[in-house]
Amino acid sequence: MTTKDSTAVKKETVKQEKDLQILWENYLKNTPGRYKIIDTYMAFVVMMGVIQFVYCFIIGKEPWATFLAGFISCVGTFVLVANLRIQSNTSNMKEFPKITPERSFADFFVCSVLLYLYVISFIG
Amino acid sequence: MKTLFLFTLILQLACFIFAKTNSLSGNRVLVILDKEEDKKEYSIFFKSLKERGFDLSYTTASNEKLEIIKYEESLYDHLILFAPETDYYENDINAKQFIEFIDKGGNILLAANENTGTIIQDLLYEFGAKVDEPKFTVFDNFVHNSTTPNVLAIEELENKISLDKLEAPVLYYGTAIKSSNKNPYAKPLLVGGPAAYSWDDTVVNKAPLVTGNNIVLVHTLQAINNSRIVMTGSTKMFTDKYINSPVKINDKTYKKSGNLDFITNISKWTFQEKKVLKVVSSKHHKVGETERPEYYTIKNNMHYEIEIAEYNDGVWQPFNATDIQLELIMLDPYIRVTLKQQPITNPNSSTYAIDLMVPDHCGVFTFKVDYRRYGLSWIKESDVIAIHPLHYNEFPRYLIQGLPYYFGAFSMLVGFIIISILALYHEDDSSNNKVNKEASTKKKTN
Repeated sequence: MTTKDSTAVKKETVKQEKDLQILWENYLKNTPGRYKIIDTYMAFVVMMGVIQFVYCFIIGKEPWATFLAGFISCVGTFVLVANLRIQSNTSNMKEFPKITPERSFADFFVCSVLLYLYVISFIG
Repeated sequence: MKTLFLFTLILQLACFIFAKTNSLSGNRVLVILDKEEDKKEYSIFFKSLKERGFDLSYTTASNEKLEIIKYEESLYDHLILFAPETDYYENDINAKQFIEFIDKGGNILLAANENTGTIIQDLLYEFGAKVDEPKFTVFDNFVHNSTTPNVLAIEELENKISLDKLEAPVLYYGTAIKSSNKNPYAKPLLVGGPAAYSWDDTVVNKAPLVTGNNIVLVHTLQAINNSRIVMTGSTKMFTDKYINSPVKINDKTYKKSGNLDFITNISKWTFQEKKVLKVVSSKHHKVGETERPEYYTIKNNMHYEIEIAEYNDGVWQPFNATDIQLELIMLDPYIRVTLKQQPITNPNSSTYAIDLMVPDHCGVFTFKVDYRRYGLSWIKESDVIAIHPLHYNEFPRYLIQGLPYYFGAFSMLVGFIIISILALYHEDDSSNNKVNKEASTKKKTN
């Protein structure tokens, strides 16, 4: 029984690993370069957010507003960039029939400018 | 002629000065009696009131000219209601009018008896008290005068409101008062002994309203506007007969009862001659300054000071207490501290003060001293002032330890610019993205 089970589990994990590998290869092969750059940037944003959060845990609340500005700028940027990536992708056009890539960029631009205005005013 | 005129003027002035009472609310007293003749029975009590400078007017409850409020003004400062048996007061005077009289700052000394009529019953009900059925009187087979079990001789005070202890027992003959105990402004002054009960010899099958310590003999109430009311179930305790009566209780004998001392004290309390508190002044400012600021800033050190005086028998004295508290309230109290009494410099008042730090919370705060101790008049002193947050130049900014945050925020900004350039000008040249490119170029040509 147990041996059977363990082999089944093993098989499963092997299959999963294989799937992941296929996914990764497909990603490298089929994703346009601009989206790869955006994805890299999003990974960077997440990393910055985590670093600031951990840093705040270590040194305490003191420049609290500054922490909020830094951390929220990361969260906001991540959300806005993710939106841009989803909406400007032409293969998603069916889901957003009324939103052209230009419109999605304009949205991203206006929202980002607003976000950074708040961030800068908060950072002192 | 001129000298005569001057002489009479001085005489009048002297009369005016000597006739002045110690009561803070005034000297006009209306005594309402059941019958005109009853006045003689209370002669000692009334005489003592006159000696204290009160201007007594007598009337009966059935007098056509009976009036206590006219044109929305009280005609008297104090009322003595010794007319419990009358069911109908002339000119439609009822409990509502007595309550109005209290609302206008009047004080009432009220006596019920074993035949209390509806008006007084209604009035007692308003004060959260109730008298027993007609003809029921309080008995105590252990604590009574000589051989009459229905004349109680009370030696102990339940609450030390107007006096500290009784020199001689107080004689009491009358009905029992039951307190609802729901009114926090009311407290009993004299209660029956543990073996006391309320009873009528002619009716055997009725249970008494209250028994033992729950029988209230003398009840007090201090209204929210500091009006004072004393209720008792015995008109007899004010009579000359009871004042002069010798007391024999168990083995002890007293030449005279303690009634005069007791009723003098409770009437002094009722008529605002004793235990009246007032706030002389209160101020607060930042430590090191003397003026009240326009606003405080969070964590400011401040100083609060309040001056309180106590009035007793015509003299303003320093008031001594250890439990006066200051509260800094914004919906909830943020700080509640006990004020410290300062060394007395003024013979007429005492000062309480404290240094404290205002809360680390901005908003509109109320600084309040709300001191409520039964027997003393309530005092409430409050001031509303804003507590501001720090001004932008009052705290350090751009700290070195915030560097990662600055880097995070500005890297996001730079990233935004890069992404924008990328979205606008980047062209993929890989073949698998033809559709994408075509779509975008089409849009551009359009």
